[in-house]
Amino acid sequence: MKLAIVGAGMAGVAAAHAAVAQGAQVSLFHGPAGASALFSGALDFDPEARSGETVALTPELAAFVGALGHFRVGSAPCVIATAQGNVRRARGRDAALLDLAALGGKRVALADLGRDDWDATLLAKSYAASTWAADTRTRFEAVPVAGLKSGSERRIAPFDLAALHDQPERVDFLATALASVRAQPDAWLLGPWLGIEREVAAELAQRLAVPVGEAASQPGGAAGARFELNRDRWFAKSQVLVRRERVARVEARGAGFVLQGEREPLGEFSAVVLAIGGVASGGVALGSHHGVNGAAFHLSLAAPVVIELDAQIADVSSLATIDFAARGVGVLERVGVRAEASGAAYGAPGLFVAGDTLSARPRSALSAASSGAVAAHSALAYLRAA
Amino acid sequence: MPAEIDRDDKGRPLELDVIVIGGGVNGLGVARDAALRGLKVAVFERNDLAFGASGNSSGMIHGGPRYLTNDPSVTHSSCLDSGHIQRIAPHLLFRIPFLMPIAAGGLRAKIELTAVDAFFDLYDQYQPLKSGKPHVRLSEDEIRSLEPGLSGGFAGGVSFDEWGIDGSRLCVANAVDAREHGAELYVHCTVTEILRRSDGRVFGVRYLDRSSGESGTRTARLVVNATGAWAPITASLGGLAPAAARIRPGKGIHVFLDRRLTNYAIIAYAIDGRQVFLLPWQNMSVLGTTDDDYYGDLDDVLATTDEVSYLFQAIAHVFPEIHSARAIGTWGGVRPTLHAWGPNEDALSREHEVVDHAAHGADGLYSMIGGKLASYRLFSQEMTDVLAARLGNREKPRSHVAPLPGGDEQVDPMDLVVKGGMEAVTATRLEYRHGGRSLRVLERMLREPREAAVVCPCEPVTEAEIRYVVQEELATSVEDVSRRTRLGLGACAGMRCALRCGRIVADLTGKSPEKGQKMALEFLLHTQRRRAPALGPEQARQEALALAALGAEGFDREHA
Repeated sequence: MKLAIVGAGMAGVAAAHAAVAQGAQVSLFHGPAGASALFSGALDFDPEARSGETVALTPELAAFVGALGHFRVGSAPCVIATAQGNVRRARGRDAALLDLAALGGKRVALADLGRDDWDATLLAKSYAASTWAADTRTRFEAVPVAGLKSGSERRIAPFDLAALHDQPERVDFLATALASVRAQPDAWLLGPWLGIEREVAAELAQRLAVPVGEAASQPGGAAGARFELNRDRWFAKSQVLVRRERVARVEARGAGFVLQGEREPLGEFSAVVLAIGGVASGGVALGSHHGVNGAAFHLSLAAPVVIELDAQIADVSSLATIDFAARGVGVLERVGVRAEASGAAYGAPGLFVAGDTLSARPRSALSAASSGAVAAHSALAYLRAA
Repeated sequence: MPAEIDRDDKGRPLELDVIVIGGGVNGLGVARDAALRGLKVAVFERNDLAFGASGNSSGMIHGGPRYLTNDPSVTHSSCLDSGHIQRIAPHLLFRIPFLMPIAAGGLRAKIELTAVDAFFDLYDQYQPLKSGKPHVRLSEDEIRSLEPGLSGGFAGGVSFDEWGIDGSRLCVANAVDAREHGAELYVHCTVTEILRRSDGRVFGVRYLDRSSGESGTRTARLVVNATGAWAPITASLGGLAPAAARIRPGKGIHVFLDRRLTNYAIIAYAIDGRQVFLLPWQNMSVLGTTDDDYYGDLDDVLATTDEVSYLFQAIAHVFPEIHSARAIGTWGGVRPTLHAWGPNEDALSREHEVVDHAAHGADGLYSMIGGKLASYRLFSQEMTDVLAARLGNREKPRSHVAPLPGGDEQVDPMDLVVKGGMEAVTATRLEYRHGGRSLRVLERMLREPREAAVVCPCEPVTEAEIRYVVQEELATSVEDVSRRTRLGLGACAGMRCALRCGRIVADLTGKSPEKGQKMALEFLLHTQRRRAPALGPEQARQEALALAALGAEGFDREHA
């Protein structure tokens, strides 16, 4: 009665969390980073309903969020500023993100460090023009802050600047720079640079006695790195057997499956949850010949599953047959494994699917985690019945 | 000057000498040439400058070797004009050495090589006109050491010399120069009617400003239809039969790849025997081109997956590594080829001609038909000669000697590095696009250091340059900025820069940040449609990531 989970993004980790909570024996295999490592820091269930989403977390999902430690999901939505220049509600957030919900009517300063990735002046203008800012009469303004030590720091990746802020002396330096601004604001908003390992936002908030936090980042910011770090911390404490090994094949054998690694077999399992991401993560891959020989989508590992797009199998035989104009820009994101609501892969008993690997599901952190928990429960029920 | 061409339908005097319809390279070339001769000119462009074939060509100022056997005078004038363009805009031209391998095949291949060698001996006579180097005959080993990626056996081959250019920059340079010499430029303004008197004479245009929705009228003594593939449609706006300005529209697509894959441009033969090429072009590679009769929407020319496959198949024949290269987009344009019934597309003449519509009862209206990027200046001068003669203007043509903006001053990119703290690649690309005027962009950065921020890291493009092209080069949207700077055309497809660029453009043009986001999204969606046919495995992944970033903001649902 062994369960294997493939993938360590939001869906795979939530599946592992749900399964070990039920006392199951779980092995988790994962390769390099996927979409969760590029996460923006915003937690949503259903991106369509984000304007006023208040869906309550199931106790299980609340426990998962708590286990990771660095997420904040309250009873009411939070309000975040995004790298794209919007102010919007979200169901929850990475703790380093500034929650604007309690700052309505206040003066929020965007720390202008002179970074190329943080156009403070125009971002402030854009936030100020948002419906939320207008409704709450919140002011946003760019304030110059001498928070960089050298010219080269202007252009290093946001991730690298966040990592620099893991050094205590850099936190001191930034705190001093922020504190030296004459007219202190009611809150400080910065880019996604506030530490990976340390809770720099919280430290700064304490030193300055006002809320300090980040805007949600573009893919590749610090939030994804913090997810990976906190995930690995949880793995270390948990009962999950984690192996950093890419799975090459899932082969049906008897009533179960054999997982083949790139060099050696990884073991035999009675049920498998696939949470390897979609096209964005490379979990769903595309054939390589520009349509010459019919570029088909396939999973990046070999498994007895059916790939579909918008519930139509034939449509993904080749990129040439996809009408991007008619299907919308997000069409590639909807390519995935055909599965039932339980997460059970179509035509492959014992194989379950979660997260972006599922076809036609919205891509948001909480819905991925939720689908992971669902797949884990279905897999455990399958194991009990077998 | 005959009095009758000086009055409108009610006997009132006319405002301008010449109205040019079409902001492509020919229309802008005429506007510039006419303005240099002191004529009062206005240009109307329905989309953006360089929107059609001018901004979507192979980007070459070639010497016309293909005419050498039938009509050497065309080769002579092409090479001569290539030399002129090089002198008026030295910054915009870059050398593209070509490699033409001849596949092994016994005696026949040897004869072919000898013939090709002899042919280029002839072409060498014209090369000095355009500062080109003489061709070199190469052995199989030499070809392999120059381009190790080539496959198959070769009898040998030749290399010869041509010039590349950014067609959009050439258009913008002509437009800016025309404006600096008094021309009025109406961009994103579509002509809705060519006005005619009761005696048939043309005296101006009615236009609609597509951004504001307002319409207006401008009058002039002469009107030039320089609308390329749109020429028949434009003629019909004056009540003429579209056939009065007949062309045979030929669609040509190009695929671009994320880096320079070869040192030389490689010539190969497609499955139908057509010549295609892989060019190292600016900081990427360009694979082209197709030539097919076109019947679709001229405002929305898209490459298809079949066309992309055809080009890949052809190049893969001699350069198999193309299959592991990363295609990041396509562009498509429609050639306004001279009309002929019967010949295969490739066999159509690339010549140009001026049609005087007096023959169709519309005195004062001229259409520029045919032509190619490489001969734009010559064609424009020929057209302007006709206009000047008609208007009694005796000024000497100067468009072949007067430098284009940025072409009058040499700037060392390393100076930009030292003075502006730019990275070397940023400085080199900036200097390529703006020549001497890159100093004006530098001045902005020195005045306002935040403008030195690199907004598009792929190309790269700084905030100062974005602001410069909005304020000085008539850009009004993210798409326009991209056409002028190549912002957002790299591997990340604008994912990192489009929204920021939108904020800057909105800020400068007095629009709301929301409008800025909207124009960024329009650009991203438009870019995506042009990229989709070229998507390979890696690129599909990038694309999904880019779209996921948009999706996270809820944009895809609003705009899909």
